[in-house]
Amino acid sequence: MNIDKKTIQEMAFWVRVRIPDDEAEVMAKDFTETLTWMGERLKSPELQNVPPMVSPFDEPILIRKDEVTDGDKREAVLKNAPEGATDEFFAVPKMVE
Amino acid sequence: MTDLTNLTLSETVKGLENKEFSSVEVTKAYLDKMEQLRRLNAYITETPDVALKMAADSDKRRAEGKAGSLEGVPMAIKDMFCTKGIRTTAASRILSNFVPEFEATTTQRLWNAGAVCLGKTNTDEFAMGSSTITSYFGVTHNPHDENRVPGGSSGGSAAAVAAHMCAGATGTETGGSIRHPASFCQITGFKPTYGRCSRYGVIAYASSLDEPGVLGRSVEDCARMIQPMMGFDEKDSTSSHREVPDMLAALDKNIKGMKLGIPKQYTELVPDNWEPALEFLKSEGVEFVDIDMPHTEEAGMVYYVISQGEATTNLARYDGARYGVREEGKTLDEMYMNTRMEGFGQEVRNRMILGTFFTSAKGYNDYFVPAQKMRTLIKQDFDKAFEKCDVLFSPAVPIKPFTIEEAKHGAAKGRFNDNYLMPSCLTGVPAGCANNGLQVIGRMWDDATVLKVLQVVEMSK
Amino acid sequence: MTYRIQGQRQEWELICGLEVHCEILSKSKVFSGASAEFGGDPNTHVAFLDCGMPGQLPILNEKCVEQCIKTGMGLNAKINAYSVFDRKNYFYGDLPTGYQITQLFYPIVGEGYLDVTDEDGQTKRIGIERLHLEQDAGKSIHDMHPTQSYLDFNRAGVGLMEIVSKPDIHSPEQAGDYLRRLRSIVRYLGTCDGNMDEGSMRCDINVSVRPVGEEGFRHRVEIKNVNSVKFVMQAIDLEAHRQVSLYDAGKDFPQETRLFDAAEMETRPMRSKENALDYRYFPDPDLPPLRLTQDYIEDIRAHLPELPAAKKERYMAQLGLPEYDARILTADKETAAYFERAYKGRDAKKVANWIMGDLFGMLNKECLSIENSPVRPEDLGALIDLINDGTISGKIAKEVFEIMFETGKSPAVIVEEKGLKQVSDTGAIEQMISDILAANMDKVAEIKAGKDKLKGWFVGQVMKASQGKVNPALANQLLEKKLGEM
Repeated sequence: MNIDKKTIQEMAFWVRVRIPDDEAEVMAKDFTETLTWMGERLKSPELQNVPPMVSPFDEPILIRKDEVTDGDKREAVLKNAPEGATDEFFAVPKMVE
Repeated sequence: MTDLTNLTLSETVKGLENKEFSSVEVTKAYLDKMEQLRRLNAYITETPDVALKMAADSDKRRAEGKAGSLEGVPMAIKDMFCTKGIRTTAASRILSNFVPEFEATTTQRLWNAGAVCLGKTNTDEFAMGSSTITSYFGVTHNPHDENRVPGGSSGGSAAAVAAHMCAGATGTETGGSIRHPASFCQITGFKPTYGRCSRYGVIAYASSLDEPGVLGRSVEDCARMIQPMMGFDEKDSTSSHREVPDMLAALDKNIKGMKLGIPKQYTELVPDNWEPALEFLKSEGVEFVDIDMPHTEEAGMVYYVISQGEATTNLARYDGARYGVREEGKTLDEMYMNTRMEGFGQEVRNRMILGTFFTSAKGYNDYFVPAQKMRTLIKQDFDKAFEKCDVLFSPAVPIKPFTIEEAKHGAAKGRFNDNYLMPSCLTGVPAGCANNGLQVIGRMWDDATVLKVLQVVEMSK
Repeated sequence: MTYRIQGQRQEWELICGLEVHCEILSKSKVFSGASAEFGGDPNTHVAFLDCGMPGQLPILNEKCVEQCIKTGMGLNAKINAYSVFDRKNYFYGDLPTGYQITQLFYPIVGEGYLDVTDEDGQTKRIGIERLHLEQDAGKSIHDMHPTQSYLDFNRAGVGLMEIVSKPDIHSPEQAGDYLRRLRSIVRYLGTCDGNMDEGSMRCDINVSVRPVGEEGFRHRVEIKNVNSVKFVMQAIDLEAHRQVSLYDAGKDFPQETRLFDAAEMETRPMRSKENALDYRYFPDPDLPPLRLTQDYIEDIRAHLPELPAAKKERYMAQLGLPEYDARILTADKETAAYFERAYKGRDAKKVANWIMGDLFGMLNKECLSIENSPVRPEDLGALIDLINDGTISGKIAKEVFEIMFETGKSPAVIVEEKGLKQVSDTGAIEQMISDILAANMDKVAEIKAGKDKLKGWFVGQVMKASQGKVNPALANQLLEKKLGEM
């Protein structure tokens, strides 16, 4: 699989970080190498009928009764809010629709 | 007055029980030690006021006859556990001003058992690493050789334990982050079965791998600390309902007749004390079984794909909108990008970019799912091994701690740094590293047996 | 007339699918214990999970699971015993964790269908692709500050059912009927309140067109977040025409997301940079798969209330109501409940008429919903009984009904208080008739000569003289008798 600098930049945007062009170049090259050898190993016929292991956890999903047991703690929720927040709301730069 | 910090956690518990000293006294001793050894940079946040208040309250409880199992014991908490009212940073600039309004279940249980909080220890940023070199708050120095790293990611906790700056500490393990620094700092580390300890309030790195655990001076110390931490928590859907056995009761030092499996893939490189340890254990009546774990080589790759894939999304919430250090921007996206660029270190940033590839349309089918399949095969290696033996036994990290300089140049990516540790992390089995750098890995849910064998291993020089 | 769009050279048909998001009726949110109630002071229905704090973990609410299953059954759909929760990753201010927990790969409900009435009055089956459970996002407010948007996470984490139809909708009417019926079903089941104006039911529309006879699908456009049935129908029509015009002009258009502007009556593109977004879906490692037992599923089915379609059939087949009446009465749960309480074995058509005529008329005038009707259904039934047993006439009954509506009193009490009992004393009526006949002998002569219609005038006079209290049928009968004697 070939990853180019443009793809790296796209992925950086997906996770909302920036990467300078020269670093992206290097990362693209290294990552392509990594993906190549990993790709080989991960195509092993041994994996054919093996189920994927999502987690070591094997118990049933925990189900909660429908009751209001939380909330009503606006002060705590807003405690660490960055500047611009009011007593009631979080604030971020204006969002375009 | 003897230096109370030289007592093990178990000795401290007994000393407090016998009223040889008070919690305030032993806490003060640790606070002094922390000040003396501040240059090691084991702690990100020291909490002397909180510690002394907790100690005073503890002494009061003891006087009222209400002592818990860890009553009055001063502990250090890895800065990945959210502690209410105490800054919690994950060793990252982005959370450098974050003070949680809630407590992690595991630490709450320690406080309920009477423990005292000395402060928050250093770690690699968001626990991604094995040296603490990526911490926004600077590297921690290995107490045995200050030019060297303490290992990681729970390096701060390990150094604090090794330098007697706490009676014991908590850690988390995702790819070996408890056993690794335990080995580098020559102390004991224990990571229970995935699902034993609640992940509620623990800053998530890779959700299907993260497990809270402990670091201490001995197996007995670790058993005492981990006991109250384990057990079902209704705030965590991946928390097990299985009954928690009595860890201390299991420490009977009798492992006669047990079968210890030695994976040949974990003995490619062994430290000097390996052969003597084998001799010693034989004299304790164990039988050694040769084990083949053919998929060991793949663990690094599987870990790389799965941990980075999961970590990327776990870190998406750190965007400056609702908490943390925000960098301004004219638009929302600009604010996100500026905040995350300034907030995250380069290692974390790079892992996020690459990690997101593995859950992308292309990456998911060709890498993520196959890696999860490989994970199943790695698990099968363990299942097959445990048909032939009770526990696995091997060195934890067969190399000596590298220097801080070497760490800056990528020593942590070296082959033997974590290849004996990663496979067990992927499968969720319990594992511990004794203070002689030797590890024991057990079956799922067989935490008690791991500690039992580990305690005997600890006895070998 | 089948819906077609007239192009320059040919006729085009519409291919449309709807994705409807329904907010689940439950006390708490799908993965946190905060209240799921609509409104509330900003950020007070917020648990730490709902504002994306570190170390927070989702715990599944059993009620949300149940509501999805019930709705799935209402849509004749397959309930999947195995389903998985996935993370859908993107960045936006109202998304606290940078991902939404949803179900892509294995939804809780599979294929089903909903029958609608199309523009020709024919029944058309619209396929349902799936229904899955997911989290709602918070709300962002853009008009309280010049440079900032404010965020309220009360709604973040409220359970949503996303219902995806197959692209089987071929006209705005079908879309409108689909939405109305869907709304009716979820309200009947109590799984969602269906309030499109409060945003508890939102619709995304997928629109594409193709020349009649062409196979395959052309580019489609998604119109997001349309919040009324009327707007949905308008948006579809506008967009379909827009696409045909573009094709006619030889232009193509990208698969994109647009918004419907009701004021300007147009659809316009969303200014979103990430049109070809990869959401990087993968199973959420914080949540094990959901496995339902057959017993659990069947138990829910056994306790399901009667659904509108079945109820309508029953009203027609067993109660003999015409289709129109049955449809109106079953359109919503509250009307049907009212009807059934008023009906209780009485004449279904009479009850239906009173409800659809008088009751609805007065409710509309006062802008009241049937749940808030001042007239209890039992009382309406009692009123009809009073007509049947001759206590009051139909005309008086209308008066009584008005008073019932105003005062909430029962009909018996009102009749008693106002002395409205029908006069059925034959002797008294006969006397009244004799008097009127005597005073109008000329008209009597005309009747004798053949002008039968004047009999009605005499009955009218009797009613007038008795202030409407005479039983008209009896008046008629006695009049005939008296005339016969003359």
